[in-house]
Amino acid sequence: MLDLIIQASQLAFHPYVLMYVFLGVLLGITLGAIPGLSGDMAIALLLPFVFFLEPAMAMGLLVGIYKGGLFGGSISAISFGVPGTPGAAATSIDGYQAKLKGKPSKALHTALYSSVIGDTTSDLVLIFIAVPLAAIALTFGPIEFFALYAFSLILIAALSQGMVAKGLAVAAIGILLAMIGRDPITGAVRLTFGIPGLAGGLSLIPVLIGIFAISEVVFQGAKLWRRKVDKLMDDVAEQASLLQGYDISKDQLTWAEFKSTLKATYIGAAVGTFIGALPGAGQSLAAFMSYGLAQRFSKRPEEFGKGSLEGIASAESGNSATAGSTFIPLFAFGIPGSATAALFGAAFILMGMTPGPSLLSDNTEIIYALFFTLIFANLVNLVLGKLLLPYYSRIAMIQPGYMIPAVFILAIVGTYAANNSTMDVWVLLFAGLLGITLKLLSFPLAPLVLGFIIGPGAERALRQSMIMGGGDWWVLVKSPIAIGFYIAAFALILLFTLALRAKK
Amino acid sequence: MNHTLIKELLAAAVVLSLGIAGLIHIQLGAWRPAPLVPSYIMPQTAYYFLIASGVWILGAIGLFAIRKRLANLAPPNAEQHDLIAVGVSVSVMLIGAVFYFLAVLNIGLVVSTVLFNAILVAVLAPNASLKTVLIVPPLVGLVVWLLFIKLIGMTLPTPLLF
Repeated sequence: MLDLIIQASQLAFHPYVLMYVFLGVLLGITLGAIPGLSGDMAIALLLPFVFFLEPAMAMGLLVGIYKGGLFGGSISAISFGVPGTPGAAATSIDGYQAKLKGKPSKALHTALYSSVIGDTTSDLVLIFIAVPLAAIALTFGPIEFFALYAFSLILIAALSQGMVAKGLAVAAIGILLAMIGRDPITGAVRLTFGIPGLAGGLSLIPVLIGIFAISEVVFQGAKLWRRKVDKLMDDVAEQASLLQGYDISKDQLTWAEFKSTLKATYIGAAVGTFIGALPGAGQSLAAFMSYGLAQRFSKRPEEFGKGSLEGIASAESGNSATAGSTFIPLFAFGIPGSATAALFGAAFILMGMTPGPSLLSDNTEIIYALFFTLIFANLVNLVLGKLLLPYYSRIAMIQPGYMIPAVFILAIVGTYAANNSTMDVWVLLFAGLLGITLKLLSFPLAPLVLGFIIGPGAERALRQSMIMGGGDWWVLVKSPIAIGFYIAAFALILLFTLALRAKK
Repeated sequence: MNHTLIKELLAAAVVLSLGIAGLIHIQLGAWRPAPLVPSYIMPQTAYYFLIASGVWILGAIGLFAIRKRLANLAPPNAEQHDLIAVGVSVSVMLIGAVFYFLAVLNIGLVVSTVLFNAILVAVLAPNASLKTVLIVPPLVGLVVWLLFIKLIGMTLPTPLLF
């Protein structure tokens, strides 16, 4: 074990890996700070480059972007009241109020510290839980695995946007997209509609970039065209000018103030870690639930919504605490519980590693190096955040009008470069169009990606179970573990539905 | 009919059509037979889910209509999209992307990238001036060339230009 830790640490702390972590955090914070761009989008765009990097370096870059993006979203939320990422929406409630009251530095520092604490807590839970869970998962047979896949799909469908029917529908569409190509058992070609280029199935990269990046970029383009951002940018410039006359020396976060936010930070860390581990629940839900709970247990609940540092700490900690735990289902069972985990799962696949219980046993060194990188990236986030905080508010003022076209072009060329495949570019544009259509009809996109990624595994488990049961569907509910998964899925949906109703 | 209702009805129609069309395809299509586990077993399950989801959405619409709370049909934080703006953006970006990629294959990566970027900036960027349209696209072209040609050595058909 000691040898393994030494080898993994040598891999994780290689100078090139450290450089990629720094680069990733810097890129993540920068993109997260610009409204409309997010860490997820950056990860999707960088997937084609994963081919050309060593696994540890690629992981360092992606982890850096992810963690930087989580904190970056809070910069524009606090500075201008515009959340850079959806997860930072709760942070903007108190963060922007604190800024209007002349406390932007305190607010940004509170967000930074609580983000790092929440994130580190979540990473530690991942490190200590993923390994034993993966060991349990190795004992599962196809019936249990099918139940687990169904559990994840039901949960992600129900929790993505609170609309179970639409979530299930897009998960089914994702599964259907995964079925395109050659049937792994009979070898027959399915659902290609006579297009020979589809016989090999749809590649991960164009589908993920199309669904996540292209659809979002086109919507941002639509907003730009309508000059909505014009007004926003005027507001941003106006708000920035308000900062000109203020004295930063009077706006330092004191030790007493930091201590007063710790309870809220811990609440956020606990809630975020729990929510992050559930497939589909997401950062926004974690942030808002943390915020609500912190207000309930606060000694000064009346200050929430008026620039409370506790409010910022709970929301930001809750948001960032999903970072580590969202990988638990991916590492233990091969099920990506969030869009980010799906992107990391795709990166693992591109590097020749299969997400799931065997991921840890087959790639122990890399995964332990990744654990080190996760913790190290938090330190980098803290240091870079602390050093560059005064400049980050200005980063948020970069006009998306110049960024969006560049991102769009990078998505197209990057997709082609991954496999030198023209078909991949057409699939990318089709996936983008599909994402746009689904967004227009208010369908959540995360279940589609989950369905696409776990579709082949779910099909394999279903067909193996059916063979074991002699074609009888009842075989799927003959295992106590499988029944447990189905009951747990419905119990969790019921719990969250009741919690959301109580909130309304 | 309000906007949310139209959107939900459209969503139900799309989901139901896809599910029913899929089941018809399974009935009439040429699927390779396999004992116990035919090729269509998973797609068929997905189509059943699509139909069930479509019925569920229609049921929800009916329930909300009876309670006269159709406005509550929209998911929380649902964004109202400007359809004309989205249409323009799709036309400029997605249709433009088809021509851009064909140009990349036939004319050349750098020239096509600079031109397409200039068009996108000119059409989409608020406050875009002639100066920025002249400066930003060549920079993007340079970045693309450095990243994809120099750094990762992407191979493209020999272009007409550079």
